Amino acid sequence: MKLIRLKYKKWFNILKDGISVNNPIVVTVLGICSSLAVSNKVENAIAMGLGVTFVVMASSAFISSLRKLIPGKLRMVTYMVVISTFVILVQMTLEAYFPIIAAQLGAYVGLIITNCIVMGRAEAYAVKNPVKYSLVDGFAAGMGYTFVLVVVSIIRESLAFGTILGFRVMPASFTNWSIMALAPGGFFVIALFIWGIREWLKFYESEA
Amino acid sequence: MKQYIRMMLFVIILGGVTSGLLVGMDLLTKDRIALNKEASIKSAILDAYDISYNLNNIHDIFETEINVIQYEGEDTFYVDNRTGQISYIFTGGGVWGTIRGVITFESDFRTVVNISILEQSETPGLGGVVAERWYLDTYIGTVFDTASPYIIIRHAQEDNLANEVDAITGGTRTSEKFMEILNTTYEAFKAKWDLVGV
Repeated sequence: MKLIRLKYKKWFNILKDGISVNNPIVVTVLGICSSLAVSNKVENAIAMGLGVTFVVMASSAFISSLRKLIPGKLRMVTYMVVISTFVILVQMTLEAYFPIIAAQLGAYVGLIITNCIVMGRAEAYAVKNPVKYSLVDGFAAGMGYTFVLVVVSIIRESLAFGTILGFRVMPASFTNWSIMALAPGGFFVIALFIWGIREWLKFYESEA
Repeated sequence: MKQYIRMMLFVIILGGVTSGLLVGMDLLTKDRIALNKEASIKSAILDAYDISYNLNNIHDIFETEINVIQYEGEDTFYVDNRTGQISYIFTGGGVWGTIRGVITFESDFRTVVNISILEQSETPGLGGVVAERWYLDTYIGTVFDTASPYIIIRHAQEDNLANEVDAITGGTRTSEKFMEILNTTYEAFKAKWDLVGV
């Protein structure tokens, strides 16, 4: 396909928006809890980001395929059941085939069920759109989340432990900023990050 | 009326399908998960004895190298067949959560060869130092006393006696709890070792 036509393709626009203008953490401020807790090391951030991406894609696709059958009053119940099932499947797979990563992520894999991004995309997009666009939208939301998580964890890990993915990046004389390994450090970094990205996107809260 | 029946039917079918998926997945992975839990304990013991292994042969190596002695099916001693060193897993309450680790003694059951921490939830950077390698290495060569308190973890200027170790700077309460855990578990395991040990 010609590159110039790419920006008129619907799936490309969904993908681009999901990572920048509709970024779940920066713009809609969803899914903050796990991003604070898991972003202290880069490998945890990558594993969590991939887990959330898979769950969002799978549950969006599943709900989108059922969208004509779900009775109106049972929407939320259905989302909960479907999302919980996929998260438990992911958790079982991790514990069986990747025990080291499962031990490091601990309880946070189970907490993907409560991650607002998954429910948010299901309600806002998947239940009104066909399956293939829901898949792209889920992928975009997951990638936006992973992107923010990885950048924040690079900053936090290099300041708190002096390493990135286990490779030493700070000089040996550097004193570790232990606060970056704890919750307050996460709050500071994410807040500054949200400010920076919103400034760059010129996305301001409208004065109503 | 019809819409209520439809809703009920939908809920029942949805519940049935998702339960089926989960039960199927559970049957597929149950054995592997149990094996992985065993492997994590075994790898802790093998690491304490400095025996090399990889994820494929861990169970076989464990069979040949370690002699497992169980007292009344609960308290387990792991004895290295070559050196006669003895390990057990200690568990106890730290400041914020459980501290669980492996302690390895020489065959006299008094001199410490190695301590490793398997899980702890202490404050990172302060009490969390209890899990760091350089701190646990200060315990190597400590000789547990024959009477309580067996090991003393202390803040003081003078040099330590054979059964004394430095506490963690900034982690006073964790050090106190850790001392309590080590002493209590040692007392219990020593009594049982005297009964079943070789």
